[in-house]
Order: sequence, then structure tokens, then C-alpha cells
Amino acid sequence: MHRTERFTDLPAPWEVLTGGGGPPLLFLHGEEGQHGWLPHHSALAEKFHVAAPTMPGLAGSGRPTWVDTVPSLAKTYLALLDRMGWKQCILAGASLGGWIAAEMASMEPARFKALVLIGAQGFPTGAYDVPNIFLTPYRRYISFGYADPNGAAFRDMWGEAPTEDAAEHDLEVMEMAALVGFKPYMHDRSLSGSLARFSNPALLLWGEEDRLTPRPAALAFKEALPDAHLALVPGAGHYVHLEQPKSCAVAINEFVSEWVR
Amino acid sequence: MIQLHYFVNQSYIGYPHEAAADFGAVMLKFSNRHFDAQRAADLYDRYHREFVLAEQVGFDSVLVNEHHNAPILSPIPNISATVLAKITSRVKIFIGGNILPTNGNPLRLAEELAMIDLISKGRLISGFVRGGANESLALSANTVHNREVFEEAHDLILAAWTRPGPFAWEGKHFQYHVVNPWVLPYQKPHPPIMIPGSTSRETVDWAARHGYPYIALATNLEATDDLFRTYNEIASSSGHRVGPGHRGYMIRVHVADDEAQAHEEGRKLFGSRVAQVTSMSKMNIHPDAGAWMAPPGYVTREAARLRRKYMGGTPYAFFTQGYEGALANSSIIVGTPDQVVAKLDALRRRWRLGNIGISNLPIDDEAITVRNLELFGAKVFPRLRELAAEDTAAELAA
Repeated sequence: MHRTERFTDLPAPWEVLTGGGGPPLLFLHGEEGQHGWLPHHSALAEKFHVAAPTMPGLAGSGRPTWVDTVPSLAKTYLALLDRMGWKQCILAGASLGGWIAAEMASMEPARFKALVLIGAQGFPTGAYDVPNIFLTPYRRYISFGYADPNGAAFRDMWGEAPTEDAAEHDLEVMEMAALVGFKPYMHDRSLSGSLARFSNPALLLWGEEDRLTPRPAALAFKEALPDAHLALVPGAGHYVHLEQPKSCAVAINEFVSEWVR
Repeated sequence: MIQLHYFVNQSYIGYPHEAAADFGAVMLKFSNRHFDAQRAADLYDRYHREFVLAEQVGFDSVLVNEHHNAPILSPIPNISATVLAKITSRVKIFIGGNILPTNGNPLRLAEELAMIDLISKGRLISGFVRGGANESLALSANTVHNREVFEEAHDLILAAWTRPGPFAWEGKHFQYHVVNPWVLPYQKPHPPIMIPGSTSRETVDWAARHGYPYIALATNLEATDDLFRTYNEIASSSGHRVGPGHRGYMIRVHVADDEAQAHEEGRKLFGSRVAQVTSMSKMNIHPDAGAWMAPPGYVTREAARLRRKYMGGTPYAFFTQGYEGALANSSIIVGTPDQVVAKLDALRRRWRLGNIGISNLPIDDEAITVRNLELFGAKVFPRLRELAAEDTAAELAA
């Protein structure tokens, strides 16, 4: 069971999917987009009160014109938390959403009891042979984010030729990614220093076969975060939450019960 | 009055064609290991000879453009233009154009263009373009900002040329503490500006609002009807007196002494690796090439929607139609001087053009290019100019 909450009294409107019960957990999607209430949301909702906002600039959530970087995006998400009345929560984000989450954690470290980064962007990946989202057709890029691009997880979500609405969503999410992550490519050098403020526990949840933010990216986060725990998920590529939603939720549950108080 | 512009893409015709076919594209990531410096240096000599010949046979301007990460020897059109300023003496030097969104420093660009205008004693026609999307990717310019940057860079260049300095510039994309260039254009208030384009509706609107002549680059005939109708309406309602000089059309043309020879050569030109694509229709297009032509934000959502609907996103439409298709679709004109005059004049009358761009497809055999140019001078231009002058006289009489 989930519902869609709308906040229309902020500078730009927000759409937030919510569901479940327990400690509050904010989940940020990235350039893979917002495709409704998905299995990873449900799995997390068994232990948490999950809120999954739609990224500004995508249908449902507006983008104030001053938001054109990841730090400025992070500030709008913090304002959303103010509006929702969430004084403290667990903060999780995937890929570009992970990068946004990392910026939020560096800005208001006391607000987040724990940080969960799933294949987060934010540090340079460097190598020419790491697929570049701006040089690759969108859905082909997404396919590189799966350990098995021919598997059911990919096919169920991306297998069909996109409808008009889905093609529009692809464009919106790509434009947002380009707006905030074109240059430098999907990273913010200041994170290597600013994350030192975040002393609460952080889980780095990486697919064993992540080709989009390969292992060195995870290690860079480990280096920057004072209390980081790296967990590798077998059978998953970059989009762990989409390819292995159950393992993703289990890893987060275990991490929270072991380290977060 | 008709202005005739000569364009050659300064192609680097030395790359192995099979390599391009294997790779599936001749842009962005097609490896530069196929580049040979000696060959390129010699080709520069050749293209410079052709530009001089174009002046001799009577063209009104010679046109250079900007391309990156592709076998085209023209990444910096301002350097070509500077050379042309010294090796020609009469023709206008038409930069068609500098790609504003990738340039990075429009104030420096304003200075470069002013130098060219001074060195050529006022022969510069300054074209500005957004550039193909792949050009932005080649220079890592954020495609989302392409149009905004284009417009702001233009505004800044015009201000630098025409507003007495010093002043400050605080824009969204460009900021300067002091704008005060001490090298200013020869022509006053500034060099003529022309906008080459290929139907992007927003660029047509923008050029029309500014009253800048719009040069349609080998666009589909029906689309061009709409384009100039839109242009005329917007330019007029923006207070500009629109005449033939505001409209131009560029097309690939090849002329030879007799028809059979023209087509034999035309087929070679079209099909040669020099035309960059030879058997694009036969090769597997690189799986990423679609993204290189249409990265995020480069076109409006509306344009993207139309593209999905009508084009299915194919990049090499010109080449995949084949030689016969190109003739049938009027995307290339080939024939004897009389035939070429008739076809070009039909285009001129169709849109009441004041500018015609003749695009030359380079080929290994330089003699073919030379003969083509000589025939333009001797047998195409005199008649074409006569026909245009008759119309002008008739209009004046009316």
C-alpha cells in the first residue's frame, strides 16, 4: 500500500510516494527515473516509513530556475523535508540520487541517522571506457547498469519500446542529469572533504558488477566518510535497487539493525 | 541582385573508408589515428587554391565553417578566414559560422572576428550557429544550455563591437569584470551577420526577430517553404523590411560540360569517401550515434517529439537516400550549365532568394573541382545573375 502526497505550497510543487511504517527513510531516485512504487520501495516499506520524492524537473515535481547543480538540488530536498516535518531520518539514494543524498548529508549531518548510497555518482570515474550517459542512448546506458541486461528485471521495466509518456520521462530525466552533471562529469570534488562532517554510519551498497560507477568510486566514498561500510551485492550491476530489490532491502535492514541507533 | 557563396567543407579526404564503415560513424569517436599530417597539410594548400579560384571565377563570397572530431579540416574557421583575408582581395569572407555555444569565451571571439574584418578591410560576413549536437559533445559544452549560451554569446559580441567600453557584463553564462576590446571591426556598426541553419524553428524565429539573413542549408523543399513563410512573418512583424537579401539557400551542385559526364562525376562525388559516407547506407551505424546527434536538451521537447514521430532518429538521411534519391529529392543538383542554371533559378524564384550557396563536394581528382568552378564562372553565373537582375528590374518597375 502506498499513496502519493503532493506539496504545492513550496516554491515548486513536489510529488512524493509514501508507504509502510517504522523509522522514516527518504529514498532518492537518480537518472533511472521515477517509475511509481516499485518492488524495492515495497521491500523497504516492510521495516520503514518510506518517502520517495520525484526529482524536480520530472513530471509531478517542478524545478525552481535557480536549481541547476547537485548542491542546489540538495537544498530543495532539505526544504521538502522541512515541509514534511521530518526532523530526522535515514537517507538513501541511488546513482545520481546517491550523489544528491551525499550532498545533503554533508550539509545537515545531524539530520540523518544513517546514509545509504547505492552505486552513487559523485566521485570521478575517470576512465574513458566507463559508459557516459551523455554519449549513449538513454535506455542503452540504463542497460549497462544491470549485471544481466537480458534478465527479467531489465526486461520487465525497460524491455518494451517506450510509450510517448515514457519517452517524455526519459527526456526529462536526461535533461536533469545533463543540467547538474554534464561537466565535470557526474561528480563534485568538494565531496572528498565535505563528507568528513558526516560521522553517522554510512552504507555503501554496490553491485558486484557495477559498470557505471565501478569499485574505485565506492572506495572514494569509503575514504571520504568517517564511518562507512561497504557491502557488495552479487547478481547486481549499478542499479542494485532495480535488479535485486529484495537483497537491497535486506542489506539496508541488516545495516540499520547493526549500526544505527 | 543575387549573392553567390562558395562553400567547400575542407574535408580530410585521406582516411580509410573501410575504417569509417567498420566504426559506423565519421564523427565524435571515429579515431584520429587515421589522420595523416602530411596529407592534411597538402589538402590545406589545395583548398586555399580552390578558394582563390572561386574568387577568380566570380563568386561573391567564400564560406568556411566549424567542425570538430571529424575528418574535416576546419575546427577553427577564424584561422581559415584569416588566411583568406590575405590570399583573396575582393570576395567577402563568410564564416558560416562560429559555433557560439562551444566557444567558451565570446569576448575573445569578438576580438578575433574584428581582426579578420580589419585585415580583410571590411570583407567579413560573420555567421553564428549553434552547431550540430556532436560539436557540443566534442568540446564538452553542456547541451542543455546550448540555445541560452548561443543567444547570450551573440548579445555579448554585439555589445563588445558596438557599445563604447569599458563596461561590465554580468550574464547567466558569461561574466566579465571589464569589457573593453581595443580591436574593433572595420565595418560599422559591425560586420554583416548571417545565420545558416537547418530548420530548427527556434533559430529561424531568432534570426527573423533580429532581421539577420537566414541561409537554409540544403533543407527539404517543402520544409523550406514553411521556414521562409515563418521567417518573413516574424521578421516583418519585428519591424524589419524583408527582401531577397534576407533569404538564402545552400545546396550541393556539380556542373560539367555534358550531361552524361556530369552524372558520372556526380555519382563519384556523391559516392566517394570524400563525401564522407560512401556506403553509409550499407554500413551498420554506431549504436551510440543517435545520442551524438540528439543529446539531452539540445532540441526542445516539441522538436524531440516531432523527431520521434517523423524521423525515427536516423542520422545520415542525406547519404542513405542514394544518388538517384538525392537528385529526385532535390538535395543535390547535377547537370550541364543550362540545366544547373534552370534548377538554381527555380529555387531562387520559389523563395525569392538573394543568396545562393554552392556547396562543392571535394574529390581526389582536383581537375574535376577546377573544371566545375570554371564552368560556374563562364556559363552558370552570367545567366543566373541576368535572370535575377531581370526580376529586380521588373519589381522596381512595378
